[in-house]
Amino acid sequence: MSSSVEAITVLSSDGDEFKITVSAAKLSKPLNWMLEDVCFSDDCDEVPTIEVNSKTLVKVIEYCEKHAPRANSGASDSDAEELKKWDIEFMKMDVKDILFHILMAANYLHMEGLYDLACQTAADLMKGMTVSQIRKIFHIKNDFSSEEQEQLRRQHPGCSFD
Amino acid sequence: MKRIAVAGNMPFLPEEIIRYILMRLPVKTLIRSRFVCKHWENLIRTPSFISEHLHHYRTHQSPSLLLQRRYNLRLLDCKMKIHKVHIAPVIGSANTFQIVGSSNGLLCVNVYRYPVYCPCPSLLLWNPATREVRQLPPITPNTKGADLPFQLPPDRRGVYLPFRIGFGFSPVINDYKVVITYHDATVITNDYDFPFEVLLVVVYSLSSGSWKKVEFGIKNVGLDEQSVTVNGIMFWPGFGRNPDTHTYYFATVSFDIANEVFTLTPTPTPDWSTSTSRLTMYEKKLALLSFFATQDSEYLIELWVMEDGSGASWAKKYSSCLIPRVVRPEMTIWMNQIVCDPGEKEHYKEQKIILLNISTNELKAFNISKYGRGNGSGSIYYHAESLVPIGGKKL
Repeated sequence: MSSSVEAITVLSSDGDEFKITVSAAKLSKPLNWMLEDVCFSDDCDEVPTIEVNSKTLVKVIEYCEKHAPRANSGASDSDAEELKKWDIEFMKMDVKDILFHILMAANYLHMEGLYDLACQTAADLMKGMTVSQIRKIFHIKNDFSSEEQEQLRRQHPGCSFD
Repeated sequence: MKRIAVAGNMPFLPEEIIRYILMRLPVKTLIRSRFVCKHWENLIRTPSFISEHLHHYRTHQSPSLLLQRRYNLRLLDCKMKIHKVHIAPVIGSANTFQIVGSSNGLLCVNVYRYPVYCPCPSLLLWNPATREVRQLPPITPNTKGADLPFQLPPDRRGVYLPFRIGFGFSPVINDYKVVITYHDATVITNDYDFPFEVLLVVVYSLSSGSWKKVEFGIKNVGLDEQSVTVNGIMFWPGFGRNPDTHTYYFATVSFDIANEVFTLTPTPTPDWSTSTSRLTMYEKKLALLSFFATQDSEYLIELWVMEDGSGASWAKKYSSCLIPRVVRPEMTIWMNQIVCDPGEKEHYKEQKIILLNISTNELKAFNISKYGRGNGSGSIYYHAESLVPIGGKKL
């Protein structure tokens, strides 16, 4: 295969096809390996699958395409400012529905920038939440016995289990 | 077919990711998060998480400034937002306090009864974020030596000995220490008594929970207030006296927290009689702010940075334009600006601190509402909130 390949096609876990440009795929090590496989293997008919659902993969690719020019060539301060603003808008999403999926995807695709951004977004959301709201979004059950709850309450007056 | 990682329908976030999210939370939210479930409660208490959290804070944001004027404490964060620090720990018959050191979210506080001058510091360690307080064992001249392997030396003039306090952390031994130096009071200027000649040094270690005596080993040296700890070495501004010529020179006294050895190093400052200096930190190195008179009503500030840990090489990084005169200000350098709490009368009524940008030379006053009057007794410390436990009680 020649280096003239500009985009590769991948499948989501739902079986949908997505195109990702070579420069964007470089933001993720595993995607980059996959790209090399596609470029250098003799059998190019096979479309690789990424075990990320379609809804999440759309967002991940959108992030990659936006960040690719800067990651590959460096950027001026004004570009960095613009990108920061874009990140904030990009992260305005539902936690349960998509943010946690993005977190998982960024972790497994070794995308440091997106992983940091998604973790910070989750942390910022938690700052304004009650304990029960936090449990709800993380799907966690309150497993303290009533004695343990009492003990913790004594240690932290003013805090609540709700 | 190539397959990478698996993500199911509803992600159950692995611990690695949970940790990474929790690490970014302020202490207040983390304390609330301990109530979520047992697993989180355990995780947030582990020493490795506590140090990761502190490390993340320190590498991702500038520390806040902790400002004290009399009974008022304020936290100025890196977004220039002011926060009140609500509970000031005052115990027993004490009615006021003075912050004497700040490290990894812990404060060392001297509590005393005003206006009675206290001969010996009564010290607390305090983590304002977790509200934990630990009282250090008292040191009093009357202590019969039951807990103390030393006696305080008597003062020849029948007054209490002046003392200086330092507080810092050493990553080498992973321990916090408090140092008190007791001095002979010698009048060396017309303005004020300067504590000269160290007579006794006592050191408290948080891990051992007790005081012990340490050799000072340096003659002809006096220490000024407010020590600074950089990479496990505590530094005091001070000056030395040349016994042959009876002249004085500016110096720093350093104390290696790990091996408990004191060292004296001259500092590159102008004539000691016309200037005031403060130690601080600049780009993670020890820095010296020297403030001295050029004419009657104008002053100049210089910033010097210690280029290596030995104290042998100092480099001048900045010299300010002429600025209006203030007397014995508290100073530090923070986010590329010199922060100064002036001691001068005209300024202290205004409840303002002064910020001098060292890139642009822009000088501006910053208002801190209800901060109270200063009288030269203010103090400024760096402060990064943390979960660091001190084995004390909750306030």
